[in-house]
Amino acid sequence: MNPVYRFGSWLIDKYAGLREKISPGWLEKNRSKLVETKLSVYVFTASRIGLTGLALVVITLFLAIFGPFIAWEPYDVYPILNKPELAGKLPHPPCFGDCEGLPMFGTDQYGRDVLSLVVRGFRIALVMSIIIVVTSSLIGIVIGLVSGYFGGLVDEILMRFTDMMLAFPGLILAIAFSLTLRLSLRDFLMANPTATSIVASLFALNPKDAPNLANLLSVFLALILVWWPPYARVVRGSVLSVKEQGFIEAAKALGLSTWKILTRHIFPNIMSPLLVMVTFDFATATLSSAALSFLGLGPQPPVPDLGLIISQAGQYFPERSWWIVIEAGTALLLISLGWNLVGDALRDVFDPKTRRSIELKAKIEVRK
Amino acid sequence: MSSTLPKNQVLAVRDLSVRFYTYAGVVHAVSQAYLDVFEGETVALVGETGCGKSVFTKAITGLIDPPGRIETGQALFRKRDGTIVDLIKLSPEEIREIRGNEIAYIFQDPSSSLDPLYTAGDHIAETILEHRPITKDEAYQEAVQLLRDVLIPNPEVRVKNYPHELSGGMRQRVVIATAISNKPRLLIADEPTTNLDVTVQAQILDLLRGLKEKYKMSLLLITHNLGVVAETADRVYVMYGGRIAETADVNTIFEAPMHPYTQLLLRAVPNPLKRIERLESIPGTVPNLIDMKPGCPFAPRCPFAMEICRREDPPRIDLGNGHVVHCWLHAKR
Repeated sequence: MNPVYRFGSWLIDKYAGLREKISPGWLEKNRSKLVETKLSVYVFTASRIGLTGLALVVITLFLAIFGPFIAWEPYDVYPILNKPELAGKLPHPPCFGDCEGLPMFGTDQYGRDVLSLVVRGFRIALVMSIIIVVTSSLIGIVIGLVSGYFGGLVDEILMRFTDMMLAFPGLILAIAFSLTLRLSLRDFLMANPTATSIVASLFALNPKDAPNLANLLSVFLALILVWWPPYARVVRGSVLSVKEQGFIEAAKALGLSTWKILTRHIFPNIMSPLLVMVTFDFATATLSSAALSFLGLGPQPPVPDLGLIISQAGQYFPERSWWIVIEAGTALLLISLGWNLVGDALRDVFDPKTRRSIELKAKIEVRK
Repeated sequence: MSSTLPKNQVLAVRDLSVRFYTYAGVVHAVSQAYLDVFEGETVALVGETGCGKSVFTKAITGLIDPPGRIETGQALFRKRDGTIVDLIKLSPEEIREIRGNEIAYIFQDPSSSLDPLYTAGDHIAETILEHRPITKDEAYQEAVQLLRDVLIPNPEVRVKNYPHELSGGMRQRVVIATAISNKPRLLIADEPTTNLDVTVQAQILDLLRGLKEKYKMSLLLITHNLGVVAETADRVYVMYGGRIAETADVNTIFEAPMHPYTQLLLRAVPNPLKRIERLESIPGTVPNLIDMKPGCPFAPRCPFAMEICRREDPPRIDLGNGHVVHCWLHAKR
């Protein structure tokens, strides 16, 4: 059997053992849930697409967490300032053997090692996308649940507002938001050193560079503001179909409170389309935030943001900067490809039609 | 009307009208319907599909959603502690306390009445915990006991099963167990046997009858199956076009039906002992309830229809002994 599945199954067993130790009887009560989870893991690991995506996501997450510690050069020291003899040679292409003390994978126009910058860039890209997607999906879920479940005037008001937000091209609206938010965020960060250091540690940047942190914040706040409407629409749509089901009416007839119906019966039943959408959106959000900083709205040098690195290479492109574009571009590609493949495989796991066939042969092995 | 009830009466609905305001027009789903339920009795509500049976009972429990609206009416209900409330006038929060607790509802489709993400035990415990201050463990123990009461074999195992691991009859038993989990005074069963095969139907009906005795509930049975009515009900209400057409005790309904609709309905039941050429049916279809005009709703299909039937609402004629018919044929002139 496939080793990834065996690892997943081992993890699930360990988790179940832990729960059993905390509250005896848990294992017995949740046995069929565990089998179901193992089946899902099996279906996921049975697809090569899923495994490739998972590998990419694990690599990018690893780099996002440890990248800033692995990176062998500080990002905010320009070598050119200490070695005036470099002037005229930069950006320096990748070199093998005759490097004259310059990094092997090429430098940017300030003489910094591009690869080291890119390794740091993963942190910013992933933190951005995760915060954007998680926050905006939470906003979207709340608005969609309320709007879909209560209907009527509430629905009308919330959905017309959502339509209004959807009517603008997202990126352009985000540009407008990020420009208007920027100044007040800068003032806020200047006045609150704790907030500044939290944001700085999140992105693994120097807390002294408050204006750039404000730029980063403004980009992701702007993206959150334009990112939730599709979630609200998707959630509302799913709620509309789930709430017509018999068990919702039965729950009402049994006197359950609205809060319980929403959280225990409606929300869990709309999870699967949402989970797939969230996964795909990690990729899109990464690309969108890179696009904004490519346009110059995000942080300014020396921040190692992938979009910014590519944008800075633009003036020397292609002869004197192709390696910069390729290295930073590959990083973006790996992130978005990984999430996309995982999203694809998840959709297969959640779709009963594709799942059924793989499951049949899995059932025997899993139930053991 | 006063807001008192005779000692042994659980529910008294009077003059209840429900309308749906749709784009196609106003649907008169229920018009001036009434209903009495006494302690420990089984009342059947009979009628064709689309005659307003379900809407009527949902209105009583406050389950009508917009665009539906309860226009007029009163539904007096005697609670466990003896106080009498008008279900129509209660706030949503107050009626929620009664639903699932004092009045429970069983829907016709057992497979959709259970949330696929929760086990049988979860459903029962959830309902218990919503209405009674006991611990989770006690609720799950009660769930096992309830599953035993609804004659599910191996209740200790079944309580952990998900709906897809149960058969149709089993699911309906779980739904029933959920409904009776707080020992309601009134159990409304909306075509509880429609989606089950015949042998299971009989089991479920037996079960309901047994539970009614055991828990001293009253049972309001909604059905279009006259066989079920004959077997289980004490009294019968026949509904047509959103109105009550005739009501009497079960023997009178079957032996001396007075309303033409009841008569035709009974003729349409095939008797397995008699060889017949073809199945009887009532010509025509259920009336469209949109923008109804005055007059008897059954008049277009009624073989005895008179001029007055199409112009004026039928009068209420009391034939004594609780036999009431709404028909111009029996009006003394």
